[in-house]
Amino acid sequence: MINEKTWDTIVEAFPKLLDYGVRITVPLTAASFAFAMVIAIAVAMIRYANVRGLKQACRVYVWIIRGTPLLVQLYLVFYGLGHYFHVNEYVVAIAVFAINEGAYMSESLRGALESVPKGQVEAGYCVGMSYFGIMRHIVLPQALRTAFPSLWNSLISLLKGTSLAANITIIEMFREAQIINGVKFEPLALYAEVAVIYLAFCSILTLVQRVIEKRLNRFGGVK
Amino acid sequence: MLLEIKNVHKTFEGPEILKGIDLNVEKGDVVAILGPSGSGKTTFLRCLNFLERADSGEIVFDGVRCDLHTARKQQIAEIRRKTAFVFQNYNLFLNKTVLQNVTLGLTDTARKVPKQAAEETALKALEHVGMADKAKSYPNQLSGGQQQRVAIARALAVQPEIIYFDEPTSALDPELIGEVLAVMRRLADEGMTMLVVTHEMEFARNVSNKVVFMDGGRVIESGPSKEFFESPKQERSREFIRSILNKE
Ligand SMILES: Nc1ncnc2c1ncn2[C@@H]1O[C@H](COP(=O)(O)OP(=O)(O)OP(=O)(O)O)[C@@H](O)[C@H]1O
Ligand SMILES: [Mg+2]
Repeated sequence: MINEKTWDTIVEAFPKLLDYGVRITVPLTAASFAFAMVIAIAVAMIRYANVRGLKQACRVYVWIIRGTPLLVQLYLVFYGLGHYFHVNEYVVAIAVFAINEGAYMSESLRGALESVPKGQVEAGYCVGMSYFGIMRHIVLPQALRTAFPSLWNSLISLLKGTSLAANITIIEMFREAQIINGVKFEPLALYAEVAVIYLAFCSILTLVQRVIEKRLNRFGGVK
Repeated sequence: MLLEIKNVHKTFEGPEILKGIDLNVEKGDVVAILGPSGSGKTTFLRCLNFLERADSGEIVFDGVRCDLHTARKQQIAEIRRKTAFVFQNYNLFLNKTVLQNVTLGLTDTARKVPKQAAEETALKALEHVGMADKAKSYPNQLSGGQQQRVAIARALAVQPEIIYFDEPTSALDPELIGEVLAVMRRLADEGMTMLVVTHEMEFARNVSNKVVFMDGGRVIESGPSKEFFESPKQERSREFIRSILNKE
């Protein structure tokens, strides 16, 4: 099945795919994750603190995002809103990915916030700390630690999810594979190749996760 | 008078838990609050520091009057600045080192102590409870007794006028109780004003100078420790002392 022509295609495609992976897929993932993190922290803290009004809004947000497919969300914004307004495909991709993954991340972060013993909050008040001081120094760091594995899962799922950006005209790693296939017509080889590169990226992230987790656990720290 | 507490009432859902508690504390007093489980001792202490909001009642702290039900943020901060609280289960900040546990109340509060000065104060407080050598450890690396001593150092560091203790030795293994009681005894000797909910009769009898006996949300009897243990006036106090002595 792998004749010389196929092999040549694979070898030739590799640097191109890797190039798009490093230049587009990775930054797209990083930017989306950073914004998702900001959204998740804000939403989780609002729900944790029971802020009236805002809390309901956050619940609706999580409900809508979790109940609709990511691809539909991308289409809705890029083609739907794009029909009436000028939209930039990268802005749309990062925004939609961040808003989408942010909803899932806010849920795990909220659980982690709740799991920090309330007694530590009370102790903070008793030594005179403010609510925000307590959140910043005591509760949030512990919650981030607890939620870390699940947040990292979100990062990995974001990385794979960026392939959906191909649907809104962004040429990223997967779209590049499609384009090369249009010329070479080697779908099995090329899509397998791109799959392997995704797998490699995710494996690196998993390795990084192990290192970070080891660090976090080095001191008796939070169990 | 350092602290006058008047007519504290508190209901959660259902029956009234505190049915009008009065208590006067002089500077240097060590008051032991005794009473059977569920009598409202913890709730009473928590109301004094606004960890629970009382339904009514007031305190006069250092001559400053404060309504326990309606107090605003500013007043609450004022009261908390003069007090410290030691919990049954320590409640140390688990993501912070021992030293940071003690400095946070100095650096990240209205006290705004510079970091270096805070660390000096904190180390002194830790020395006082014999925990200075563990300054860099994390709470989970310490025994319960050590954690509670750190919690006491955290309380001391903010130089409170009174420290509230809620059963500070109840969560400890029997062999660790002594080290914490020793620290508390030393504070008492040094003139620290303390309000201590406890089941340690030895402490109540020999360290505290006043006893308050609570039952069913009321103060049944209060007075000098010696009198309370040698000639309790109320039948319920006598019963309580008898039941405790039998257990021991
Ligand atoms: N947050 C709360 N919500 C509802 N009920 C509460 C709450 N806190 C305390 N109670 C109730 O108030 C009563 C008194 O509780 P409290 O903890 O003050 O008693 P205690 O004297 O400290 O008892 P113990 O010796 O067991 O610590 C109990 O019946 C308890 O169930
Ligand atoms: Mg109690």
